[in-house]
Amino acid sequence: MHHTGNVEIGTAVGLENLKLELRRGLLTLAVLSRLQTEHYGYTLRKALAAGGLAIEEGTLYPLLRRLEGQGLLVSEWRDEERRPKRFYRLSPAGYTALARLREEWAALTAAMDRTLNADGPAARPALDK
Amino acid sequence: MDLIDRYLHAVRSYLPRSMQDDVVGELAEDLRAQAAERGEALGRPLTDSELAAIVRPYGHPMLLAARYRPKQYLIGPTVYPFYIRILKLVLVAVVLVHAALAVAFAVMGEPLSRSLGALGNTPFAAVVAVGWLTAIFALADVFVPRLPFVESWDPLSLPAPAPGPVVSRVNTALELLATSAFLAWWLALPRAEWLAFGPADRFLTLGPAMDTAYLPVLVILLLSLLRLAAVLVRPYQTTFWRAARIALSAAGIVLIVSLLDAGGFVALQEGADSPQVAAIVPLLNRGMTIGLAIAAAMNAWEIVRDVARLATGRQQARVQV
Repeated sequence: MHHTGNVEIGTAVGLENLKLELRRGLLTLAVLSRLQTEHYGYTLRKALAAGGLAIEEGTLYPLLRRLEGQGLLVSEWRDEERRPKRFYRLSPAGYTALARLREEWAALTAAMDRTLNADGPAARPALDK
Repeated sequence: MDLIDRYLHAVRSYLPRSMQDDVVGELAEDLRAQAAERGEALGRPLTDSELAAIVRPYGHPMLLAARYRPKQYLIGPTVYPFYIRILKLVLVAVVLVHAALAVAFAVMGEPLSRSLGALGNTPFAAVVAVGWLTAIFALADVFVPRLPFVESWDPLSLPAPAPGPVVSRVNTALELLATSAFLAWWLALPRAEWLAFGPADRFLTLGPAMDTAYLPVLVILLLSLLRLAAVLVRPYQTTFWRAARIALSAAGIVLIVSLLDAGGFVALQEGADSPQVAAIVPLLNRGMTIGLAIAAAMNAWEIVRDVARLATGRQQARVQV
C-alpha cells in the first residue's frame, strides 16, 4: 500500500476539513429548501441549526448573496419588530433548481447507500511494516 | 460605540463601496438579534467579553469581507504546477547567469566592483524574472483553456502510447538551450578569439588542433541539436534516439582522442615574445588536455549507461511478449 504522506488527513483538523467539504454542497440544498418559506438570516440560521445543520455565521450571508446573484433567491428589506431586516425566499428559478437538486440528492443518497453498504463498514487496514 | 459597531466598522472597510450598506446592515441585524437574545436571558446588558463571544465566530473582518467576493486568483490550479516548476528553473538560471557574469568579469581582469555588482544585481533580476513569469502565467491561465485545440479537444487525437520511457521536456529544453549557446559560441570563435581568451587574445591564438577539431565539433553539435529537437517534440526515449546518443558520445570520444594526439590547442600570437606569456601556453594546453580527458571519460560513462538501459529495455520487452 502506498501512503501519500498527507499527515493532515489523520488529524482532527484534517477530518474537520473533510467534513466541511462534504457539507459544503449540502448546505446550498438545505438553504434552498428552507427558503420555500420566507426567512431573514438570523431565523434561517436558527431553523437550519434546529434541523441539525448548523452553519457558520460567516458562511450563511455570503452564500445567500451568491444564491441571490444566481437568481435563485429574491430578497427585500422590511421592518419587523421595529428593526429593518432582509427577508429571503425562493425565486421561480430557485423552485426549479430545488426540484432538480432534490432529484439529484435522492439519486446520490441511493447510490451512496449502495456503495457504502457494498463496501461494508470502515475497518482499519493493517499498517505497512 | 460598542464592540459590535467596531466589528461592523472594520468589516465595512474591507468591502467594496457598492455592497457596504447592504452587507453591514444585514450583519448588524444578525449580531444585534443574538446580543438581544443573550441579554434577555441574562437580564442585563452584555459585557465586552460576552459581545466578543458573539462576534468571534464570524471571523476576522478581512476574511468575512473576502467571502462576499467572487473567488479570485492570479494563477489557477491548472497552470500552477507548471508555474512553480518553471519558476524554480528561472530562479536557478538567474543565479547561475549572474554568478557566471561575476566569474567572467573577474577572469577578464575587470575591476572587482563589476563582479560584485553582477552578484548584487541577482535579487533584483530575480524579482523582475518572477514578475514577468507571473504575468505570463496569469495570461496563460486566462487564455490556455480558450485555445481552440484545448476547447475542442478530441480524445481520438491522443498520441499513441509512448514507445519508450518518457523524457522530461524541461530537461531536454535546457539541454537544447545550453547546446545552442555552445554552438553560437563555437561559430563565433574563429572571428572573435577573445571569447576564448578574454583580454589575453592579444598574445594568444587558437592552435592547430582547434583547426582540426572545428568542423567535426560543428557536425556533432548540429546532430546533437537535431536529436534534442526530435526528443523535445516527441519526448520518448526510443531505441533509435538512445542509439543516436551513443553514436554521438562515441564520435565525441574518437574526436577527443585524435585531438589529444594532435595537441596544441592554444598557441602564441605572432610577434608576442614575452617569456611569461610563452610559459603560460604549455600550461593552458595541459589544462585543455586534462579537461578533454575528463569529457571523454564522461562520454564513456554516458555510453555505458545508455547501453545498459538499451539492454534492460530489450529484456523487459521480451518478458512482456
